[in-house]
Parts: sequence; structure tokens; C-alpha cells
Amino acid sequence: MLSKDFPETEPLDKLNMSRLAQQPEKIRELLKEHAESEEKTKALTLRKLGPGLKMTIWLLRIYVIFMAVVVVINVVQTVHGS
Amino acid sequence: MSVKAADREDAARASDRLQVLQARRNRRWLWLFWLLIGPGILVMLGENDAPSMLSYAATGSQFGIGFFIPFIIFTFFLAFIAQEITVRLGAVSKAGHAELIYRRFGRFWGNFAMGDLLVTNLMTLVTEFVGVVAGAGYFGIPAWAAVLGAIIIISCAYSFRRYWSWERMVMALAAFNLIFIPLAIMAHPNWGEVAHATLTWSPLPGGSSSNTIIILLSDIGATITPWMLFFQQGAVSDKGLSIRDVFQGRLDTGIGAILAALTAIAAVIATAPLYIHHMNASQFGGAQFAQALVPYIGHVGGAMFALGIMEAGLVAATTISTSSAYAYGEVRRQTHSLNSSFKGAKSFYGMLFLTLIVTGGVVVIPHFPLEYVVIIVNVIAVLTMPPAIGFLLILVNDKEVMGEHRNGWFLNVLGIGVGVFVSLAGIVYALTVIFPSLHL
Repeated sequence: MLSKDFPETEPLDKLNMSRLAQQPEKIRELLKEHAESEEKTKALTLRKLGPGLKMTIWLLRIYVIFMAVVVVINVVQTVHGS
Repeated sequence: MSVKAADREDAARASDRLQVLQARRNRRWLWLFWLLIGPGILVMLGENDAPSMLSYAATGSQFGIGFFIPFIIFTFFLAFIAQEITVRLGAVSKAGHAELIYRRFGRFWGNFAMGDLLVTNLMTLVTEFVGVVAGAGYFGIPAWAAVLGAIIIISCAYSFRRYWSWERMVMALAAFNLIFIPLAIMAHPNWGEVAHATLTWSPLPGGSSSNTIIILLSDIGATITPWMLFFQQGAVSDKGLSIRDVFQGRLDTGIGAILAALTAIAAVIATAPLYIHHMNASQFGGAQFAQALVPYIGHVGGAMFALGIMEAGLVAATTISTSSAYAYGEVRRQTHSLNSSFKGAKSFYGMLFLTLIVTGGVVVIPHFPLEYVVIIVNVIAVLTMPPAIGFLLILVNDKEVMGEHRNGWFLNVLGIGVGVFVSLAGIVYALTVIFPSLHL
């Protein structure tokens, strides 16, 4: 069992790191899920956006631009009001 | 033997995974929970930042407790819904939020998302330093010394070059946010009224004027902002949480939300005496609140309030600058881990310190109109949230990214509800700005 070879408590983290650094195969075993997920993520390509989804994203973007203008108006109103 | 720079990140993450594996195998559930908590508590207490605590203080002093205690609980519930999604996204994909947006939506949409993040992060960071300076000002510490001290403390947390150590140090600092709870007790509130306000959700005192809408929006922005999504997904991925750890990740986020909501409510209760005694606190900053509260909570209470604002700024400056650095590293596809050495992740740490130095520097510029930044920063955070929620929901429903862990219909209803709520809040704000005489 892999975990038997290593101390369990947190203060021994540095010791674990040093021991693990000498055993790359154990690092690979411990990070297997991590490596697989990374590979999967790297293989991801652009998502095809349907017309509905595309329109939603555009609407949300226009919303932010419009709100930015509103914030500028609000700041001008506040400056002139004070 | 020293660990080589190139292997350091993997060795550190493997060491973390080993401890989680051992804790799970030995059924040491509390130890397992201790190992896996962090990103959720940090993001929630980090969001109780200087402008947020000032927003809650303004709320308590201008409106009392009636409407806002249940409102704050509601906004943190919304924050939990959004942040839980980042836990699953991070644990399943092991990638940061910015990386997934660029990979799935391309550079065009990715740049927009990054633009929103960068603008809100820089503005928020400025306000964090404003909080630090305001808190320090109460003790007579000059602004330049406060900014310098803050950057040194934040740098100490990064000097470990280990995610785990950084996380624990910032969590210890974030625990100081709870200082607002004894402050609320020192204000001697009528607990019967507090309980009544919590259970009944009274109407807004004075109706919904433009000022009220800004306070409402500011309180929403005090709980839900784009940086939180980027930070927590980046932290979950950097911490190395696996799919089996999602339950603990949810618990971590839930506990963070409860602690942050309690602190926010405590700030409202602590400043409510100013409302009861009809004191005009609409233009107050951190130090003024501390001074104004002295007659009600004493000099110790005033000092605690100033310390609380200072701490809120300090913790948030750490988490927000980290979220910027994570996103930058993900987009540039360069090393972006707190487990990396300075040499191995130059651009990551460079971005981190650059944002801190630039925003800290802005605060010490004489006559810089900081008050306007503080007023609108939470409002802007809310207004940039709808597209962020949109990307979040599309990603968490993406079969290629999430596989069997994608959202079910119930979680989608809740997620869309959060998006609709923040969008409507923005529209109400726009209406009150464009038509100032309008009373909703």
C-alpha cells in the first residue's frame, strides 16, 4: 500500500515531499486522476454555440456595456450633486 | 534532498493527496475535512472585504436591521449556489475558470470575461487598500506605512511557496473577520427584535429611493462577484481536490457562507445604533464609523471595528490578487500554482505582486477620488455578474467538460434564478439612474 511508506501528519509534509521527489512513479500514481483530467481538458476544443446560446451570450454582453454607461451617468450625477 | 523546481509543484500536490488518501482510508473524517477545507471559507470570508463591510455598516446605520438581516441571508444563499458550481468544475476538470472559458468559447469571449475580471479586480483591490488605510488611520498610522505593511504581510503568505501553507495563513487571518460578532454583542441590540427581523422580513424603511437601490445593489455585490468564481475554481484546482472530495468542498463552501453571513449581519447590528440615534452616516468611511460608534460600543469597540475593516481589506487583497494571477496564468498557459517556486512561475507571481503594488500605489496618490471608487465598486461587481453566471452555467452543463457531474434540472433552476436575480437588480438600478424621479 502506497500510503504506508509515508508519515501521516501535516508537519511531516516536507519529509513526504522530499521522499516523493525521489519516487516519481509514486507521484504519478497519486496524481493519476489529476493527470487524466488535465489530458481531457487539454483535448477540449471550441464548443459549437447554437443560435439560442449565441444570442444569450451577446445579450449578456450588451447588458454589461449598457450598464457601464449607466454607471458613468451615475458617477457624473453624483459628482454634480455633491 | 532538495526538491527540484520543476518537480516541486507535483511533489507538493502528491504530498497533499497522500494525506487525503490516508485520512480517508483510516476513516479520520474530521482530519479529512480539515485537509480539504479552505477555498470555500477563504472565498466567502474574502468577499467580506473592506467595501463589503463598509456597505454593511452603511446599511445598518441608514436602515437598521429590519429588512436587511433576511436579505443578507438570501444573498449568501445565492452566493453558495454559484460557488458550489465552481467546486465541481474545479474538481472534475482540474482547470481554472479562465482556462475553461478560453478553451470552450474561444479568445473573443474569453477576452471579454477577462476584461470584466480585470476591471472589477483592480477597482476592488484599490478599495481593499482604502480599507486598510482607513483602519490604520484610526490608530494614527500614515497611509504609505499602512500600504507598505499590508504588501509585506501579504508577501509573507506567498513566501512559503506552498498552497497549503498560504491557505492556512490566510484562513487564520480571515478568521479575524469574525471580530464583528463580538462587536454586535457590544452594541447591546434587542435580541428579540433581531429574531423578529430574521423571521419576518420587514419592508424597506423609507421605500425604494435611488440611495436605497444603491445600498441594495452594494449588498448584493458584497456577496456575489466575478473574482469569486475565478478564485475558488483556481484554488480547488491548485489544492488538487478530486471528484471524491466534492462533498467536503460543498461543506467548506456552506460553512464559509454561514460564517460570512453571520459576520455581515453582525456588522449591520453593530452599526444599527447610528440609525436608532438618527446619525447621518451616508458619507462615512471606515475610520468615521469606528469613531461614531465609540459612544455605543466604547473605545475598545471602535478600535476593534477599525481593525476589522483593516483585516477585511488585507484578506481580500490576498485572495483577489491571487484570482487575477490564476486567471492570467491560465490564459497565458504558464505555470500558475502557489506550489511553484518564484523562479518556476515568474509570470504568476509577477502578476500577483504587480496588481498589489499598482493598486496599493493608487491609494497613496494625493487627491485621488477614492470615495467614488468605493461607492461604485460593489455595484460594478453586480453589473458584470450576469455574463459570468451565464458562462458558469454553460460550462457546468457541458457534457465534454463535466461528464456525469453536470448540473441536473434542479441545480439549473437555482443557477438561472441567481442569474435572473442579479440581472433584474441591475435593471432596477439603471431605471433609478436614468429616471431619477422614478419611485419603484
